[in-house]
Amino acid sequence: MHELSIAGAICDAVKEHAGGDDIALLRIEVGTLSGVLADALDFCIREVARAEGLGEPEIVIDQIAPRCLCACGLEYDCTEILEGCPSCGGFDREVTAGMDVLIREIQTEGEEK
Amino acid sequence: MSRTKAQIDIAAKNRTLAAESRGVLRGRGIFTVNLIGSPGCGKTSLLEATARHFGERMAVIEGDIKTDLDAKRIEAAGIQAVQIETGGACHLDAAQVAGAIARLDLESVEILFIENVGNLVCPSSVDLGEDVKVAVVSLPEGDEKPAKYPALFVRAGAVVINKTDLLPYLDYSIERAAADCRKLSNKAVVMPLSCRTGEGMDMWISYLEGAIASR
Ligand SMILES: Nc1nc2c(ncn2[C@@H]2O[C@H](COP(=O)(O)OP(=O)(O)O)[C@@H](O)[C@H]2O)c(=O)[nH]1
Ligand SMILES: [Mg+2]
Ligand SMILES: [Zn+2]
Repeated sequence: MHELSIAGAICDAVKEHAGGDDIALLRIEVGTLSGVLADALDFCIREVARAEGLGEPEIVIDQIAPRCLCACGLEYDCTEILEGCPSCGGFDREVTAGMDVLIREIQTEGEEK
Repeated sequence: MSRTKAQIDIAAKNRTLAAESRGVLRGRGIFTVNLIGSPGCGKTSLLEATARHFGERMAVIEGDIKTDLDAKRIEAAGIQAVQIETGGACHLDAAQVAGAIARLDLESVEILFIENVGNLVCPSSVDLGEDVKVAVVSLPEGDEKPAKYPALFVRAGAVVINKTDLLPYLDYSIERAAADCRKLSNKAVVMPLSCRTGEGMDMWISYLEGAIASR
């Protein structure tokens, strides 16, 4: 529900980074446990980027499954969060990734710096 | 054309503010609970019932889209409360909470509750400076809510299953909901209770007293 404000935060960070250059491509990583909808975020970033004068970048959103570290030592991609560890079946695990929204790549149209 | 591989966490600014609040609260030995659940699950009712036990040892920050009705309910229960009206936003953020903390008299406070905006999704990922996220669900919502909204329940240190007094009227398996909660957050303390009858409130109170004692 708050994809617009997240898009605003992304564009702020990108603007700071790009220093006025148009943006060619933005790669964003969205964890499936971030509570953020990838499609809605895609739409919102396009709108905010245009409004903020960042150009019309290609937006690539990679959705990533939670990464879990089990007490048995196995680290695995957890596509079905209600299923236990593929090795020991247990649920004593720590989610180490897949909860956040991260900017992974920024390509600008400007000169090589 | 310049290309930069990055790892910019867009929640970083909020997290920094939350860490500052956490520092202030922990420095005073206060245990802080971020209460998250659907509209109507009974978050304010739970705080009213909790107030009877803690009295002036407790303070509340109320988050709602509109009105200060909940803060008034808490004050009527004899507890210090500050209302945040988000004006439409679906969750509280660390800046709003830091502002509210500054308005509280923390002198006698040992436990601070932040009642988040009623929503099972958006508040989950936003750090407010709390020590624990407590998810609140209630029987009329159905027992599959933890399974359907994992983003909240994986982060929950405890889950309150409220309105157990309604069990005779509903097809709700407390066992199923509790089992899903534990799958999603292995160490979560799951507490079925009724704010209405007081059944199960003792476990909730001793959970909180234990948390305060460990501060
Ligand atoms: N039967 C029953 N109703 C409850 C219980 N707790 C809260 N309610 C009712 O649920 C409704 C919503 O409660 P409220 O505390 O305002 O929910 P909030 O939106 O989560 O803060 C009110 O009508 C309460 O009286 C309970 O344990 N049993
Ligand atoms: Mg309320
Ligand atoms: Zn395992």
